[in-house]
Amino acid sequence: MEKVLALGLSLLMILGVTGCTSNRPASVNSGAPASEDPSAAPASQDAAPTSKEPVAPPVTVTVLFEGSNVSDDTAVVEAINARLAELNSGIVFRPIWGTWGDFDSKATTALDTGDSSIDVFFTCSWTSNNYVKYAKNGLYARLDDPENNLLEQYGAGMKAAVPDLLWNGFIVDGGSGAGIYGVPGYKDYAQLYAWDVNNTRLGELGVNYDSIPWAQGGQVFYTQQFADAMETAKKKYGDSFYPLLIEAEVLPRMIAGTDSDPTQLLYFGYDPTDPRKPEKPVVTSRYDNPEYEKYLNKAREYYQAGYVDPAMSNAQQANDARNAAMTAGNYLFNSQTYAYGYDQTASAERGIDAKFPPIGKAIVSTGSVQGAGYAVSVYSKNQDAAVKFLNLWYTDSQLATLLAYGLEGTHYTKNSDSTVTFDADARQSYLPWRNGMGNIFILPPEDSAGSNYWNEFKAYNEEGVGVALLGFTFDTDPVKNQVAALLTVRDQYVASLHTGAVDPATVLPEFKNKLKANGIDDVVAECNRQIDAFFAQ
Amino acid sequence: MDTIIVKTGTNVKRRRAARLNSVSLPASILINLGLVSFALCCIIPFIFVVIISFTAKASIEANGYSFFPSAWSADAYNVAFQLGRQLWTSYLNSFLITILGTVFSVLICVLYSYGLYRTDFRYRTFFAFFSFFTMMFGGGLVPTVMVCKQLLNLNNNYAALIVPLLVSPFNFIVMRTFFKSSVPEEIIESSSIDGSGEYRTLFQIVAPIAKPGIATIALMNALAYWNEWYLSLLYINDSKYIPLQYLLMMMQRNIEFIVKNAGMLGTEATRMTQNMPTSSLRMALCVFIVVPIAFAYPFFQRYIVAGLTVGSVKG
Amino acid sequence: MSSTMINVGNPAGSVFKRRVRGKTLILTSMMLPGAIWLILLRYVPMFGIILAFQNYKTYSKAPTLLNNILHSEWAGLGNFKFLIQTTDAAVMIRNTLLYNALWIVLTIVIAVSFAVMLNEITHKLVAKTYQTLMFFPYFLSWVVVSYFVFAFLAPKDGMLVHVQSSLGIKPTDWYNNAGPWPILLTIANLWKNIGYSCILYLAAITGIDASQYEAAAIDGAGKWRQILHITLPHLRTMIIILFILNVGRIFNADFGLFYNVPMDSGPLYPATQVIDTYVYRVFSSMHDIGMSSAVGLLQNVVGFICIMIANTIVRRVDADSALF
Repeated sequence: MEKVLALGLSLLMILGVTGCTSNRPASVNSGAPASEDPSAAPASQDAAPTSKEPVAPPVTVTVLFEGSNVSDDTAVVEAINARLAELNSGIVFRPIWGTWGDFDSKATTALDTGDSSIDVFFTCSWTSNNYVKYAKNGLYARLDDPENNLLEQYGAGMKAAVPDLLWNGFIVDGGSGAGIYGVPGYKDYAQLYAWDVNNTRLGELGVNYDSIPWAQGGQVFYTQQFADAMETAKKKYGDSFYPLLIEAEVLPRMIAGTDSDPTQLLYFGYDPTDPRKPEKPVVTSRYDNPEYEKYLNKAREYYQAGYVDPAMSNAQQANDARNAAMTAGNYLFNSQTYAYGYDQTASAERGIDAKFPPIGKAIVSTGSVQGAGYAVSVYSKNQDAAVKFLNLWYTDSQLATLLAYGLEGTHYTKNSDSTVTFDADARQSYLPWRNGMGNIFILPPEDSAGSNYWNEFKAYNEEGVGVALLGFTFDTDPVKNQVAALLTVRDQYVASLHTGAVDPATVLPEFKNKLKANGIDDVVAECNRQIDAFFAQ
Repeated sequence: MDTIIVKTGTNVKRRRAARLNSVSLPASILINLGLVSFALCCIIPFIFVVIISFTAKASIEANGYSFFPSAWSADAYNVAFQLGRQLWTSYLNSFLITILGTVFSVLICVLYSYGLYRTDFRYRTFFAFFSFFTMMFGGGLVPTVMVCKQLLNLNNNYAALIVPLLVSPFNFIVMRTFFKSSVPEEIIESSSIDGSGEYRTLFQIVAPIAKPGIATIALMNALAYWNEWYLSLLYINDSKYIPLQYLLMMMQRNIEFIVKNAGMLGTEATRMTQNMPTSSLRMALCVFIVVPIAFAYPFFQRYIVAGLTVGSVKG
Repeated sequence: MSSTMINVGNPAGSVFKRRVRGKTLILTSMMLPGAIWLILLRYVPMFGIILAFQNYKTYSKAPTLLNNILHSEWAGLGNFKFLIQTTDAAVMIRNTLLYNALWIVLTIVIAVSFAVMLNEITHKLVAKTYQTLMFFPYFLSWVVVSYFVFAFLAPKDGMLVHVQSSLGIKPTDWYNNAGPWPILLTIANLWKNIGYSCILYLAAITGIDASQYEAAAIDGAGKWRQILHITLPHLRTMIIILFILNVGRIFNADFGLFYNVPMDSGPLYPATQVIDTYVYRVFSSMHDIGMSSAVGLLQNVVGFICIMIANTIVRRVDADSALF
């Protein structure tokens, strides 16, 4: 009796535990909104024979997106799948809406653990599932594999839709040889920094916009006129007004030299007036650059004068502070990574006259070209279907618009000039990150941008100047121990140094010593060695 | 009554002894003073955050965070309610995961540690080391997730939020200690002679005696589940499973990420940050997270208190 | 119950044996749920230890775990290097060890004192209220606690900052100034965890037979002597066990405390960098499986050695209190 009870109980426990895993998902997912069968992706092959359809059952393609803000996608996904059925694709689409905060962990754990339930991953030069690195580690399927050229078979449309410049930028020496391991996102690939000037406030202060020498680009930061304007503002608006918004990761780059190195340790020394020069850059430590020190000293001066909000030096608070100031127009000078047409949008959103004098020329670098893209996981069981889906998405305007904008009539309305107007409330529950939406040039432009927006945008992209190192990616593997240490050193110092919250006279030498002790020289030497090899090819 | 504060089984005799054995008045004052000040320190920060979450923006701008704001407002909560369905779904998930997880984990813990406690159990040392070894050696995050996802199908379901936290060797040891210090072995022997089966002995005789321990472990596990967010990050892709704690964590991580990668993201992302929750909303969410536990705890405590009767043996 | 105590005779040999075997079987069945979990979620993933010695890469032609491991290069101890190579190594090891050592001792002393004090409160409702309030912080996750701390220390808006400036003192820039953080972290840690330890000890105290105190009181023993000679000896097992377990984790730091509470602020690293946060930061910037496996392994091995030593010492001193 006792034994039976014992056995029964332990069985119950085990079932209770494992039962959770095997039974529950099925019952829970039966009511899943994302139509057909979202959870069946990993098991789709087992499930296939049970289907009574005479034709091949549709294959589920699961895509992990970055930066989304989506809380209700039921209707949109249904519409997308209806469109996919209309196109006879044999594909069921299932999105996973990664957010800024969880994408990195989700993407890397899924890839690292060989999760076959996600077929397509957003990837780029700045997320943790870094395009080059993960292609090298063999985690992305090669799309132009000579043995099985998926791109040729299923992706001809998108191959034509996206400029060759971007495809070339996506060639990497990956797990199956040098080739294309992802589909480039087609968006703004020329990177340009700009000042973001609150001209309304300038007017209130009686400062003429043109009296500040904007043509000097980043050097404006050091001019007397720039400082004077802030001093006047401080006098007029009082203590709690901070005229200068310093985005710690952007402003120093903008002023002390732009670069595209993902480790953010190196300085390529591009000439701001002509980024094509030097033709063969010699890399140095970004923090040894005299321009950098000059920037820090000035930032410290402004900080001590009370021009910079102290909250800016902490990652947790900087965003709150900057956004509050920006949306309310409570600033004078700010920095932006400029995208074409943003001045109009920003002015409209903030209810001020915002001007965006550019700094230098728009540059095209490996980093900016690899700014967004989609790769197919080697663990995906449906690589063909995944490429097919990407191809449709990059070429079918209706499909792309559904995915990026939602439903017409619910999330947006179409205007007569083929632009769209968003319903602000509905858009709150369905807001994917537009720059991560594949080929954004087949989307209808927003009303504030105007109907000719994409043509102007393309022209802007083409004005971008390619740097000499376009196509080069620094492989940090040989110096990964140093880079690991250096990145923490960097994290320790930059936010407070860049905003001027600490004194560079004492902190900068300490910072530099620590960089040296942790092997910055090795990293610089390795990078220069790789650049030599790059040019030798 | 005196020596055992939380004792329920009082009788006249013991009460008399207690009175005889109480501390002197000055000592009592000192003790109370110490405890009062510490107890206040424990609760004040929470009250402060509640106040802040109800403070009007203007008041914060003028006086900063203050215990006595000049103007009140429920704006942060209005914004929180705009999260709408997600807020309540997550709330519900948190409850579901916590309750299921606690029940199963306590059951497993009691069974396992009971075996460890039984000195006459042949494989006692083996199982002790078997659990203990895992406290010291593990495969690391990636292999564990690999096994959970692929072998156990803990992928995008509630089980993924429950199973990985079911067992804690640390709790086995604590529970065993509770058994050891509160259940005399004679009880086991005598009930065995009475013909009571092992399971009956455990659940009808030993478990009631060890209630304080079980309640403590239950509370610990409930907390672990309630405060968990990392599992969702690893295993969940669908927002209908995510718990409340994860919502808060994501707001924070979203912001951190954007700030760190601002240079790469472009203006599109900058525009999106404008919709992100500010710190007062996050404080409101803290209140959402804390309030249920604050209310659930007295219930647990009553349980612990009711359980802290040591009468069973000597009764 | 005790009335049923009878002297166990010598039952006939075979019956006795069968009974023992049956008992072993049943007791073993009780271990099964836990044991199965341990096998699946702890023992099976231990293959990951191999990854610590590899440059783990995916074999894209046929990506399975086995193939990946077979086709990855061996790295020797290369994955461990990053821990030692950094100049932060000394800082983070020092921080981890010192904070842990300090807190283990402080927690025991304060929690036991509070438990003893609570035990002397005669008024039931009062005692319950104290307990409830003291235990409250333990419920909070570090993320939530970080907002509590932020409410006091925030630049501009923080209460302390406002108090300072209204007193005419230059406000401290708390999140850019590492100086006060060892104390702040200690306060935060004790604030959050004392309640828990205190309840554990209190539960153990209430398990003490009241008649012992009564007898001692009648013998004329004062409160102090009762505490010294009855309460503390009874708590010894609990103290020792919690001590050993904590010593075993001396190389592991409470990540949330060191990461969330200081809001991951860079200038505070000298005071807040511990092994766990360093590993997290490296892993989130490098995403290298080999490195993270290596550091996990190292922490476990060191923890294992520590706990073995502690346990051996305890066994020498008092065999009953040893863990195994």
